[in-house]
Amino acid sequence: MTALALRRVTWSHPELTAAGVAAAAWTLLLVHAQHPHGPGEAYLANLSGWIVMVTAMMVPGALADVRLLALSSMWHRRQRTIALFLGSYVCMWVAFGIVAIGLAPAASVGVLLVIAAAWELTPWKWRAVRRCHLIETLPPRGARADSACARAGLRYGWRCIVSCWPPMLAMAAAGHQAVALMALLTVVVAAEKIVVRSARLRAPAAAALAAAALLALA
Amino acid sequence: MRETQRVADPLIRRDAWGLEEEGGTWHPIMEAYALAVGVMQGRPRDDATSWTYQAAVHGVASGEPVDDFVDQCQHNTWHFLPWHRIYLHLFERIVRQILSELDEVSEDVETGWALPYWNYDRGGDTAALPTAFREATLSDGQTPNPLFTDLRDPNLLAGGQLHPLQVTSQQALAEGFFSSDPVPGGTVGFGGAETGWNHFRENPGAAPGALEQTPHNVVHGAVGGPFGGLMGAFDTAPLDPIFWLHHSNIDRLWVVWLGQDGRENPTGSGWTDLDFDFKDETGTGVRMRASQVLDPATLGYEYEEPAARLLAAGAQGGSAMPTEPPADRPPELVGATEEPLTLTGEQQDVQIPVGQPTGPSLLSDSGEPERVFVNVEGIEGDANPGLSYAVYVNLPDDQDPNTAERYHVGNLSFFGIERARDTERDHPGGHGLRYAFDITDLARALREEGRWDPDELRITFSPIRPLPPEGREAAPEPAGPPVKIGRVGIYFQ
Repeated sequence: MTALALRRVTWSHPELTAAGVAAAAWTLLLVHAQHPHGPGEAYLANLSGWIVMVTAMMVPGALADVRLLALSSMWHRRQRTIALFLGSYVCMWVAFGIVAIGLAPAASVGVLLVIAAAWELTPWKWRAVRRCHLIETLPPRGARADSACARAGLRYGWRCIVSCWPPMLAMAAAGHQAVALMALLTVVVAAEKIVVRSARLRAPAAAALAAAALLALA
Repeated sequence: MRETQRVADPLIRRDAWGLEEEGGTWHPIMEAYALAVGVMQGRPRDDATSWTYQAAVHGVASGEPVDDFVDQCQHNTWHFLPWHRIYLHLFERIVRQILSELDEVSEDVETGWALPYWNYDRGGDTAALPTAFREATLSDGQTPNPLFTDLRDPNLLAGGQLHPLQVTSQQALAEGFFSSDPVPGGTVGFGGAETGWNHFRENPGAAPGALEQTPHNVVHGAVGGPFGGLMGAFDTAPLDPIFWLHHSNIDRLWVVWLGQDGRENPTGSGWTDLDFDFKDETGTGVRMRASQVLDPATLGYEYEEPAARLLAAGAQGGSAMPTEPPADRPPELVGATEEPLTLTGEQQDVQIPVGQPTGPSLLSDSGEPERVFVNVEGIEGDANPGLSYAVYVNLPDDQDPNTAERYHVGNLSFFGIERARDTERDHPGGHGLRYAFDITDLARALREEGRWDPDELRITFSPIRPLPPEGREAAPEPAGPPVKIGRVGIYFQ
């Protein structure tokens, strides 16, 4: 691929930088999983791991929305828009993680996955998924654009938490070494956001989570 | 796989106003249509050939159960035209099946019946609803007329006409290409954005083509009117019998567009081979795709008006549009409104500061952008307000919008807006409507005249409504529900 062709790809796909960050997070987690920590892992290390984990798990599902936001921004603000939006989004998940890591170790991963499977079958789950895509247009420039973009990321994060809290509680209990479970949940949460008519996935998603729960409880 | 050979002796879809000029209000073809509609209206919802089921194929109310056959209409996408062609073809077969069982329909009509079209852009009085849709009774003066509903714009019911800006197909026919990638900022051609299955905004960047914008969407809103009429919403539009004649005209305009030099349908399998599920006149499921319906004659019909003759009228004054989608660099935002605005039925102006491009738009050889677009983004509202807005660029202060065709760049309309905030359905591509207008030619002309301010653009939204019958006062029309516009943006490419 020539340099110009590559540049044209990045012109039309500014979200590739975010995809790169998610890929880096996955690489880090996979390497880290080769050297698992013991049960006494420091809280801060857990939280650091959580930040990397939510970046790896939650950014892929947001790429299509991020691309539209970036392409609708001033050219010189495209990457700034992506950073602000996804930064706020991940911050919301970090806030969730601070609470979840404190609560989750007491709970069984299997039980939490059963709850996650049941959650898939409720109408509240799917309303929350749909609300994720209610992203308002942003002002074009300046501090107003920055602040609107950050607020949009926070809203997006909150709606995503409402949609995905049970599987992410399970991840908080399982820890960031559980890369197989992480991969399964990433596919589920990303597909729910991206796939056309994704509510049709409710049964297969619930079945996948129930199967994971059985494995965890076995 | 269905046959795709041309039928030797296709049925002729005729101009509804031509029928009226030939045979009066109740030309036998129109009366047969009314009788068949009456039969369909009497059938229960669970009968796939009933009026209500056929409307549900297009859309159902929020919260109603859906399956592979209902709530399927394709909008804001390049599938808009083929999906509606299949939909009309199967509806036509249902009507013909019913007519074959009605004693009061002559054999000639029964064997030759095809769905008429409402060519509101033919001039004269043709922008009025054909009289058969405004009569309370059939030709016997007693039987209630199934084609009549009072859930329409009051001026149209009184015999008024759609505004000329609402019915024009000139800008759509001038489009040089069928579709393009759904990238924010640019227009997407005659037929719509290249997406997968797309009912409303399931795909990121989904956007309507020029024909879907005007006259399609605009006529829907205008006929529905400001009181929540049937034509204004996805799930009720096909309940108005004029819907089918409106879409017959849209389908005809596709034929007309293809008749122009250099115009071609897409050839990619993403368009030709996407399957759509329907039920036929026996209630049996059928699966069809665009590649099976490219030529109406393979479905057994043609339009009476020779495409070449219509073209001569349609192309008058049309600008030379590019026959290829824009270059593979995306449009670049160079200015936008800072605050959302709300349209409430009055004329509104917005001033937009415009900056210099800093991306690949700078690379143009001429030093000027190749294309300039106005985008109206994040359009939301609870319901279709039943009016549309003409969009003008740099309209002079002393210019009456009604005589300002030169500054008119398109129309805003709101068919489907009720889905924008609906969280009962999947819209992963976003919720608000989005319209783009290509203003390249106007920008170039104003620049040459020294009347183009490179630092600021003024966009005017001027409401357009149906006109009352000649010599009569317009029926009072409320503004309808407000419409929120998230942002108006200027893009260079």
